[in-house]
Formats: sequence, C-alpha cells, structure tokens
Amino acid sequence: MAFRGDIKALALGTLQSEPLHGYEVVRRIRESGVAGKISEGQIYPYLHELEEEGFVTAEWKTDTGAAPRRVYRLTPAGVAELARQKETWKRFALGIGSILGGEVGHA
Amino acid sequence: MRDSVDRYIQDLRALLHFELPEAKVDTVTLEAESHLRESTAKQLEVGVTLDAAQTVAIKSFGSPQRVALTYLQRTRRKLWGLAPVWWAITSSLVAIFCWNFHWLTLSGYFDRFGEFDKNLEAGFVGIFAVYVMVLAARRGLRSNRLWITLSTLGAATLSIPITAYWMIPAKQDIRRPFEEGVSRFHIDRDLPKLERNLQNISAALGVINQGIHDYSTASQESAVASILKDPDEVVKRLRLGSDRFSILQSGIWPFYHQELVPDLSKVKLPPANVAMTTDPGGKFVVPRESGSFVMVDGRCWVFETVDSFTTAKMMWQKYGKTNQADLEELDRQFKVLRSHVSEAKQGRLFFFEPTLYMGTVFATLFLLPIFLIVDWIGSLSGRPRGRRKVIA
Repeated sequence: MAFRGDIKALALGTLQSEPLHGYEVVRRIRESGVAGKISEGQIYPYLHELEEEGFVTAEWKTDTGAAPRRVYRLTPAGVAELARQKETWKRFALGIGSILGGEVGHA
Repeated sequence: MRDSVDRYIQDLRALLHFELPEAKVDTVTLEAESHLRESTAKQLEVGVTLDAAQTVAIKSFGSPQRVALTYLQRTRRKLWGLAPVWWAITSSLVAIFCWNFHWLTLSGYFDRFGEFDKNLEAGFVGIFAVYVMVLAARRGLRSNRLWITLSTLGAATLSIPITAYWMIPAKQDIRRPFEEGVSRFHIDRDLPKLERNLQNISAALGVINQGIHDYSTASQESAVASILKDPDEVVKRLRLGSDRFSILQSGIWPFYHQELVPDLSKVKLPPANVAMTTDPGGKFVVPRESGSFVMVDGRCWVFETVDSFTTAKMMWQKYGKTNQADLEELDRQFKVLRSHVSEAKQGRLFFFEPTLYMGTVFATLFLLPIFLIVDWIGSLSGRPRGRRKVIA
C-alpha cells in the first residue's frame, strides 16, 4: 500500500529527531521496507525536491573523517509539513482500517 | 586508477550534464559518490573484495539511467529560479517592446523591410521567449545551453533562406549596397511608392544639377536660378515621393525609436529639408555635407538651407558633386529594385543578398553568448550554499 508523495513523507519523518546525512536517510527508508522497488539513488531526488520546497536544508560536512557528507535538517516549514503529512496518514490509515479492518473481522 | 564508482559517477554526470545546472550536477554527483563510498565501506566491513563491495553498492544505488531519470522527473518546473509564467510574461513584454508594438498590428515583421534587421532581431527575441517558455514548462529547472546553442545556430542559418525569400532587394554589385527592399507580401502596396520615389530622386537630381551648374560660375545671388533660393518650392517637389513624414529621432541599436507623423500637410516643415528638424530655415538651398539619402518609404535627406550666398556657394562647390553621385547611385538602386520586384511578380522565389541576410545572421550569433551568459547566471543562482564548503 502506498500513496503519492510517501517517499517525501518518509524522508521528513527520518529527520524529525535529528539531522541526518543522505546515506543515513536512505538507509532508514530502505530498512523501513515500505519504499517498494525504488533504489537508493532514486531517493536522493526526493530529498533535493524537499530542499527546493524549503522543507529541509542541506549542508556539506567535511569533518567526518571520510567522504564529505551532505547533512539534511528539517526547517520550521518542514516540521509543519511533517505534521500535515502525519495527519493525512492518520486519516488515510483510519479510512482504510475502517473498511479492511471490518472485512478482516468478518472473515 | 579509476574504479567502478568513478565510472558510475562519470556516467551519471554525462546523463545530467546538459539537463541540469552545472552546480546541481556537481551536488548530485558529489552526493552520489559520497553515498557509494560509504556503502562500499560498509560492504568491506563484512569481508568482501573491493570490486564486489562496489558492485553491491552500485546495484543498490540503481542504474545511472534510473537515478538520472528520477532527478529529471522530480525537478521543479522552474527556470532560473522563476516560475515559467513570469518568464513568459517578461520575455513577451521585451519582445513586444522590441517590436515597437508593431507585431500586434502585423505591421512590423510583415511590413516593409526598411526595418528588417530590427524586426528580425525582435523576432528572434520573441521566438526565444516562446522557446524558453516551452522548455521551462516541459523541462523545469535545467541548464539549456545545448538547446540554446543549437536553436540559435539553427535560427541564424534559417534566416538566410527566409530573408532571401521574404525581401526583394537591390543588387549585390551596387557600389553602396542598398539595405532596403520591398516585402514580397506588399509588392502591390510598395510598388507605387517606389515609382514615386524615382520621381523624387529625379526631382532632386534636377535641383542638384541646376545648383552645380549655376554656382560654378555665379559671383552674385542674382546669377543663380530662383528654385535654388526658394526652399519651399524644393520641398514641394520632393514631397512627390512622400505620403508620410518620419523623423529618425534617436536610438541605440537595436532599439531604434521612430516617430511617425502621418499627415504631412499639417506638419510645419523647415524649408527645403524633408526629414530634418534641425534645419536653420535659411534662404539658400544647399546640398548636405553628409550626402543624400532616400528611402523606399519616401523619407528623404537631400538638402539643407543656409543664410548667406557665400556659404551657399562654398557648400555647392564642396558637396554638389558628391550629392549628385549619391542621387545617381540611388536612382540606379531604385531602378534595380524595380526590376527585381518585376522578377518577383513573374515568379522568382529567392533573392540571396548577403548585405541583407548577413546582418541578421551576425545579430543572431551576437545574441548567442548573451543567451549562454544568462543561462550560466541562472545556473549560478541555483548553486547550493553548502557546496562552497567542499571546494574550500
């Protein structure tokens, strides 16, 4: 089950507790198991889109001891967008649950 | 030595190179490389070889084609930081301004070719505006330098046959190339003007010949013909060719400004000069220091006036012959133009005249680096702030 824009919602969700670099965002989304067939490299364009929309900011960190990392951070607009996405998801899950849950109960 | 990750990054860069601004391509490829190196390092921790680790990392990341396509699909519909609608509105206003609003009345590009260069340049700006609008709508925030270059070169090349078809010019072998002509689509309207202008030139030549003759021997005012002391009469003769009066007021290429005064009878003209408001209004008609010029639409720059007989004599002796040569040349050019118009009416399709189409070709090519600079500036405006830290 997926709805349009879920990758962006997931990306916002991974950033809600702390700033993360791209690799970590991608890893968490992949590990969630809900990203479907989308490859790791295809998640980055969604992060860039969130950046263009002003929901996240990105900054290169070169003091990592390894390759430079681009670290993403939620903006206030991103926090608000995440809250909106959560609300949307709750309504969506409740709606689906009210039907599928009932059917499952009858089965 | 380059490894699999390097080759992958090179492929990804090549796919995005002409599609996204350079700064964004840098960010995308740097970030992809960072991811692939980190992913490879994680694989190495479980004890596989470098090649195997890179292969797994690349496979998980996805093919360059898939990743590039996702970037293109997820790019916002903006061009150089602005929504397409603002580019459309702004560039359309510029194009209309360049066209002196003639385009809206279909009297610019489609009109006489005295303004051909201006109209065609404005035309290309307008075409570029439409082109940018289409690209912006279809492709979003992208660097368009490949398409800008190809379309500009294409437009420059295409302008040669278009010009050669559209405009009926005078001949190439004329000493001072006649940079005007008659629009193929306005032959019937312009041919009578052409004929009247030939009469105009003939009338001016009559005055010039008279002046050269009289002032070569005259030692006093009474020895010159009355017409040479009657500017109003000269104006009356030269008005033969004019059904409108225009002043080339001012202008910086390519934005010429032209003021048209449609009703000649209501205009108080300075004596003896059909197109100069700076004429002092003297008694004696004299040839112009800068030579004679007559245009297809009837504008004439032929005579001036001075106050004293002595000055008049000096002007005639100094500039009489050169103005005579100018008018004879103009007479020849107008006759050649008339014969070309006749050929066009009989079915001749093309008149390849380099003095006409080369101006347009060079003007178009001149715009190319400007377009590319605008594109480059647009790319810079999209530069992520974080990238500078990497360079540093």
